[in-house]
Amino acid sequence: MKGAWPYVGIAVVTLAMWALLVSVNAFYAGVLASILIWTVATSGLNVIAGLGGYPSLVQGAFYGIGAYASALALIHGQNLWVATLLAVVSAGLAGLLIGLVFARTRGQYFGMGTLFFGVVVALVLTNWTGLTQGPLGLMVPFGFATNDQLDWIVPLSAGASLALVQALGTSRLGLRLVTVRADEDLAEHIGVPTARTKLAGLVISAMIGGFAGMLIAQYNGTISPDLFDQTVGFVMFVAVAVGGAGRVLGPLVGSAFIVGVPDVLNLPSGIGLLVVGVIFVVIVIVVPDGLMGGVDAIRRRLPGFRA
Amino acid sequence: MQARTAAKTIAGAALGVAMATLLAARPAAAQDKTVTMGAILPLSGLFSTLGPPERDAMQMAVTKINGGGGFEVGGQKYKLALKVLDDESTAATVGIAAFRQLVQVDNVPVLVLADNTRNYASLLQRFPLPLLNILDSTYPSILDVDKHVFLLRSDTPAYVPGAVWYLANVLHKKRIAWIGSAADPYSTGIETWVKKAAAEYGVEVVADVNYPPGTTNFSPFIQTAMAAKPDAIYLGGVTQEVLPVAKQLFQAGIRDLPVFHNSGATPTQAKQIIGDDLYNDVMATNYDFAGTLPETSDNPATKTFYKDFLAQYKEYPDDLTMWAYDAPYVLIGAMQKAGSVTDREKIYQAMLTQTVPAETISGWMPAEGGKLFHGRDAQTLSEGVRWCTATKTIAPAFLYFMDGLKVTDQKLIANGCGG
Amino acid sequence: MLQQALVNGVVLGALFALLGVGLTLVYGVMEVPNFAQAGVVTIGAYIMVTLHQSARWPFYLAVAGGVLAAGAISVATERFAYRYVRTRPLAAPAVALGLLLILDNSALELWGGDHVSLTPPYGAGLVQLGGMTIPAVGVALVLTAAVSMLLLWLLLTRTGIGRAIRAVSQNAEAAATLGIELERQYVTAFFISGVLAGLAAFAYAPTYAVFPYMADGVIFNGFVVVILGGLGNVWGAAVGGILLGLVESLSAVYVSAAYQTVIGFVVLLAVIVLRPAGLFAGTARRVA
Repeated sequence: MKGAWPYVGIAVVTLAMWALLVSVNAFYAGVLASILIWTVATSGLNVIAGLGGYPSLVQGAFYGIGAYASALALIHGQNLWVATLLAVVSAGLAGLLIGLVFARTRGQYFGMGTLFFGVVVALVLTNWTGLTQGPLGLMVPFGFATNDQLDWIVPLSAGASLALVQALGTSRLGLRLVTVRADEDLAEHIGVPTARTKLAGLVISAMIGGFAGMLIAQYNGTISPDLFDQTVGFVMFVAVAVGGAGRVLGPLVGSAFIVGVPDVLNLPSGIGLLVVGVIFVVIVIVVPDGLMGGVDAIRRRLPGFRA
Repeated sequence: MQARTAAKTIAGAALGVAMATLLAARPAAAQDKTVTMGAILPLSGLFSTLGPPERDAMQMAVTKINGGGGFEVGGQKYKLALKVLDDESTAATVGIAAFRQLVQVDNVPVLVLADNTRNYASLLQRFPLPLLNILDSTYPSILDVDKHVFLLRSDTPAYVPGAVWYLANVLHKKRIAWIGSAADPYSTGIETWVKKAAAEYGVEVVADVNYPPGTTNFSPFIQTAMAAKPDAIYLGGVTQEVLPVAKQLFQAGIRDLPVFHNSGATPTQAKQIIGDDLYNDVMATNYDFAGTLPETSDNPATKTFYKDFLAQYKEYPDDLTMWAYDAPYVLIGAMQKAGSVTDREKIYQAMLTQTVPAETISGWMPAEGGKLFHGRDAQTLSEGVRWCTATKTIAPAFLYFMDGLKVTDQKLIANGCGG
Repeated sequence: MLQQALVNGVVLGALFALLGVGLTLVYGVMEVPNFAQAGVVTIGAYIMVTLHQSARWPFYLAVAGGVLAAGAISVATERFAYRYVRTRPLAAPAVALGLLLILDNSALELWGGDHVSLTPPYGAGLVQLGGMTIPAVGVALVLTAAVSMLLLWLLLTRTGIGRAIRAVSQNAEAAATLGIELERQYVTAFFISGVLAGLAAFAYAPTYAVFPYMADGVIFNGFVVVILGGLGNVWGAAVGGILLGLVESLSAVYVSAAYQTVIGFVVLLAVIVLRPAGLFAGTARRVA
């Protein structure tokens, strides 16, 4: 029974989010839905960056690949199931590719490598106009039966992603990722297949990110490259670091802060990003152990992660 | 310990719910007897040269309407309010949020849109309402996006061929180099019609170059275009795309070829984007073809608008500002005909058949039976302007109407700058 | 055609080199990928425009003001942010991006998003060279880069300040035991890098326009140059800059203009992947 408590908590949060979503006006519902979809995407990032401690700046690209794959599938007459499957699989393949390229790269270089990969994906989305319509974006056919379905699918997806990270955290893969984060050399010495562990972590991150991309494409009804560029990948990393205070609920808190605050206050996007930048830099400076150390310290309090 | 964590979580969530409910429960202001017209315009970002004058022109009309006592629908007096939200030139993110706010929360009867109409198609199908577009003249036409879309302006095929005709028959040029923006549908639509018109009027498009989005160094494209030895240059896109290319053409030493575009760039914008010291020289060879300008109109109401706008905003009003000024009158006309200020479907039906409102100033060319919209498209004459270096401003050069690829109602103005 | 592409490549490469040299200098002493340098370029350019057009300063005085301001802002990024992550290289790329967001969006709020223009007295000038016509602003960019790098070389090799920076870059601990004040070298390196960013703003802005994100695209290229040239290697960055400029310019004409930047990034990814243990493995860090 003890292990069930976190899931009860997640279920309650999910129900609360659903209740909130259906009771507020359309504007706030839109803000809340964005927060919840970001929660899915950043929960994905939480696997490689939170559990594994690898500063991946490419989650925005997975999010984008999922969005475009699902949109293109629907445009070509496929149903939503196929579209969702394609979103998850294509993002997963991109994750596999990046993983194979960078799994043996460490620290800063992993951060920079993923950043540049995000830039390349954004450039492709912008310039492959034959497929993506470029900066103009794609109109996304609506795959659900009614608009109301989104009102429960979005919170349910957010809850499921939180539960998934909770479950992963206590699984063998999760424990291996935590070991890699703690000390990669030591992990390798004691027989953890670090390269394979990181690869698996990145692919799972990517697949969850791809699923979130399908959700945003459906919710918005339109997508364009600026929703998924390298800045988005970075801001997702910030969301995990900020809210992330390392708990499974970190992505929800972080997304609420990073997406919700500027939207509710109706800040122009420039000020919103300015605020995000300041918050992030301040957090890095004032968390005495440093960013990764801070995440570590709080992560240790995470239920189920106590080694 | 873990139970406590769960309890904390629940408490946190409850707090979140309470806060959000407080935020959401702000009482709606008493809005009776006021109809709010909603508009999403690019007030910042790539298309920021377009939105602010449109907002100002609409506000001018709204102020005038309310100053005259408002309007009457079904025996009830109303005032008109205008709510403009900025899409920051990114429809897919900021624009969509603005759509939800105006359409779902503010319940506007009609939405005025500027660009990127296609991005709203999916939401428009979920939340249908009449959509009055005063800017998006991309080709293929946005009218096929949804049956609720109306175009309150003349579109690409209505003015681009006239520019090519002028180039061939007045300037006697035979070889066009096209330099456009690969990913801007406005630019690619113009390109389509430049090619159609060139084939019709016996002009050759000798170079066809499109630069990718985000390009800042146009040298490779300029060189490719110039390698084909053109005698005229045609630039695709909006002001913020066209003027930097025009500047780099000048900086590369290409200074005696006529440069055509359909940007609607004003002298103020040219000065800001190209720079104080250069803009008059860069613009000297420029020709800009689009809708008619208020300053060349014979209509007294249009002349009054021209003077008032210039006095109030210190900016020359262009075709877009006239169309925007007319939008509130079109909305009121449709609501009066529908006998409702809330029923979107009735207002939509009324808009389809309404006649040209008397107070409009754009010089609309009515369809059969005096109707404003030809189908869902309102039309005006088109006009080409040229740059006058003596006054550092633009002056009319050519007035015309396109009947397919045939130029009709044409009027050459040879001494526009001299007058 | 080929000749023109080569000239374009050299102009583009001069810009990459100018940015790359500043990046590599900072990387040499502190190991941070200073993406925020793009924001320093932007704000420097806006200050030049404001001083020249609003405050009516003479052009070159306005440029000097902008260059000094850029140096000061660069130092501020070190004093208020980077110095706290000096011992935490993992956090450095993210902090650099955070600073870039702050600088770019400050520019957006202070000056708006519209393009504005910085026009030098020679803005309309043309230079004839071997049958080609080259814009004077392009020639000015190449000259600015060449002169800046020459001065930087003299500074690094002929002055005490330069020797101290090089010592820190070689081995910070050893330099500290020899009595070199580390803090001062960090500040000096960031100041020089900021001044180079200001010079890049002066040379680059007249070729296009001044707007909040004007340098974001080129800064990534600047970083490719740093890695091509060997991290911390000033001459490597200079040569790498010209090389990358030529590669991108030629691929714009002969491959695809849309993907010319991607080609540069592919080079970078290849370098990162082929040096899995980190880029320094087997590379002696050095400045000049």
